[in-house]
Amino acid sequence: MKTSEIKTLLKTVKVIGAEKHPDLDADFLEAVVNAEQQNPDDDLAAQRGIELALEKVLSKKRVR
Amino acid sequence: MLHLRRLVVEGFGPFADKGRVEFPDGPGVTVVYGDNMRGKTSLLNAIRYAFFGKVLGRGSKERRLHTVTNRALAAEGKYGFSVSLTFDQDETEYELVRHCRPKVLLPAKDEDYIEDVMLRRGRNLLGPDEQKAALPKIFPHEVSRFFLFDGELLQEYEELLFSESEPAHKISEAIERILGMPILKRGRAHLTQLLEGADRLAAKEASKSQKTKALGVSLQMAAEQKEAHQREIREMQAELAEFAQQKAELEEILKSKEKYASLLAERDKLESELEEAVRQEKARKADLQRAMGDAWRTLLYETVRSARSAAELEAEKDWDRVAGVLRAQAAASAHCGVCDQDVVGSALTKLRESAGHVDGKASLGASAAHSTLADLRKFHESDNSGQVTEMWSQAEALRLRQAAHRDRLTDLKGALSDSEEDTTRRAKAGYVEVLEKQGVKKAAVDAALAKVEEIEKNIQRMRKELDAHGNAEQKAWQLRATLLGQAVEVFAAAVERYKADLRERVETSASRLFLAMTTERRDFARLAINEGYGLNIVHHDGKIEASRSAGAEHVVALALMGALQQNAPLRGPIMMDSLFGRLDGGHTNNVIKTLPEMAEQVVLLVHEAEVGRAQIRKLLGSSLVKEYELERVSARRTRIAVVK
Repeated sequence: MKTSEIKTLLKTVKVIGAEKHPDLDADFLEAVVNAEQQNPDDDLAAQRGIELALEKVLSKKRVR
Repeated sequence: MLHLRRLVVEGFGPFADKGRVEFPDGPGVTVVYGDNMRGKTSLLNAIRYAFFGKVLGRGSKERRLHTVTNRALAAEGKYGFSVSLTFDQDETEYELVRHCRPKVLLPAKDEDYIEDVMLRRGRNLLGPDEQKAALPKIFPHEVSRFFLFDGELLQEYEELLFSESEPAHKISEAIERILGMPILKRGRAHLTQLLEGADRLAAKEASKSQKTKALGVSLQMAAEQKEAHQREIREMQAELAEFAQQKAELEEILKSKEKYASLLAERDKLESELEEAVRQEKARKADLQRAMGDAWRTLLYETVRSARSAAELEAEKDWDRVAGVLRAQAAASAHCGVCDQDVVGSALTKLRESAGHVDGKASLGASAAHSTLADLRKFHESDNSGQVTEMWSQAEALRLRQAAHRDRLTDLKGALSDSEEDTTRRAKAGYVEVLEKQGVKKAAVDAALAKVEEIEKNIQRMRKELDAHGNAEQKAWQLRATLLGQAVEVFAAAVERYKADLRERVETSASRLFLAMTTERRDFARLAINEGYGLNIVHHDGKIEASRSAGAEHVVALALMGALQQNAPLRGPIMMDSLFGRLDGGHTNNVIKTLPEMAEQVVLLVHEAEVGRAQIRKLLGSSLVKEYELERVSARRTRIAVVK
């Protein structure tokens, strides 16, 4: 499954993100989708991927 | 996008010698022609075996690998087989080789074989762990049903119209999997778990400071309560899944009950017929016994009749003799002793002439013939042989009917063992019980979910308060929890919206494909999708077609297959085996014409009696990219040949 092939799914997530929480980083949402897509049978790896993305978003916010 | 490049089989099913199918680059349909028993299904299974190490038989049941070994080679003492599949995935070439070889001289079971798997990605050979991780990503087993299928598998999609059934639930899950739904569902679950951890830590941090201690403790307690409820919900959901499984099993038993009931009705009918036949035979035998009481008369009938004729003749002669003596006496004495009158004149002359030389002094006594005749006349004449034969035949027919009934009853009693009767009764009771338990558990889950929602609202309120009053450290934890909370909310909403969007898109694509394949475009307007992805046929007047033929089911299922391909993040080749058995000529033609629209790469395995080569070529035109045929070498050997 290529990232380009999940664009509809990603688009749905980003649109809802913008509607509900405009301040929520769209890259973080995309990172969650990617982490799940790349680790369909590995919960720990998927969660690790999300945590890494979360740290990135938080550090961005701290820098600001 | 998954694209097949090459399949090489050896010792697999009827392919004793190495056989090869080269799939052309680019989109189009590859057709493999083959008569029955030539190995069309084996080719489908070879792909399945390469990816999953499994081979399916009738009813989608897994076949033992030992039975896959070519029988001609096995007869020569050569066991085992191999499949090599080359394919592209996201512009990377893969080669997957699965080799099943015997570890004993004469294998008899699957355990007597060892399986070697080799997966090459580009130029790199992947190790066992990498293979294990890579294969499910390339081609998840759960969605293989949408890529590799036959007519039998297509029939299962009818279940989707009954969204409560367990098979429907499983197919719906597989559909959501191919459509990418688990990405969102798992994302939501993982974010929720991280949020719970962040809430706990934020609360702990808050409780360290005097200023926010009370709020921190409350937040910690709320988070713990929420977790406890969520644990409870997970447990209850696991129980609900178990109930669903039990319900499905009991439904199977109850389905077989219908058969049981018909056997029971037949048994009751036969038992009453048997009883009646026994009664009738008894009555016939009593009649026969009575008839046999008179049967001896039948035996003597002819003898008595001829004796009586003889006696009558004798008695007649005796009467003539007596009459002659009396006439002679009357002629001699001119007086009739019988009527006591004198005989005179011409009468006397006539009497003397007729008396002739009869001796008037002869005895007038009657002979023994009269008494014999009197005795024989006492015999009551009767011939009941016809009646006896008829009664005998009837009794015999009744006896034979009883024997046949008893035979069938023995069979039925075997099928209707007491244990089965008990099982059915228990299944019925169990089914009611499971339904009740399901209802109670569902209500409990709903109540727990409502509590979680309420606690979540409280948590959010407390988070806001902490945001306003907390120190930098607390705010950092709060920020983490807030971000995760927002993301959970987004993913939860995305699950619902994406599902609704998908249903709409699948419905649109399936309707378009269905209308291209059906021969009833004048009547049918579109397909309508239900919650579980079942598709109803809708007429132009908006009414749903209530009675669908097996052929219509097939066309609807094919439309669903194509629609899933067009809307799924995971796309690949469709390989279909013997599809046209249930379709008439018009539908067959339409389906063939629509194949190139269903997927970029289509492999059609077909028996030429279903549809001929000339017809396929005409219908597919330039979309037909390659043709193969499965040639018979012997009953146990097939050769794969390119059609030129």
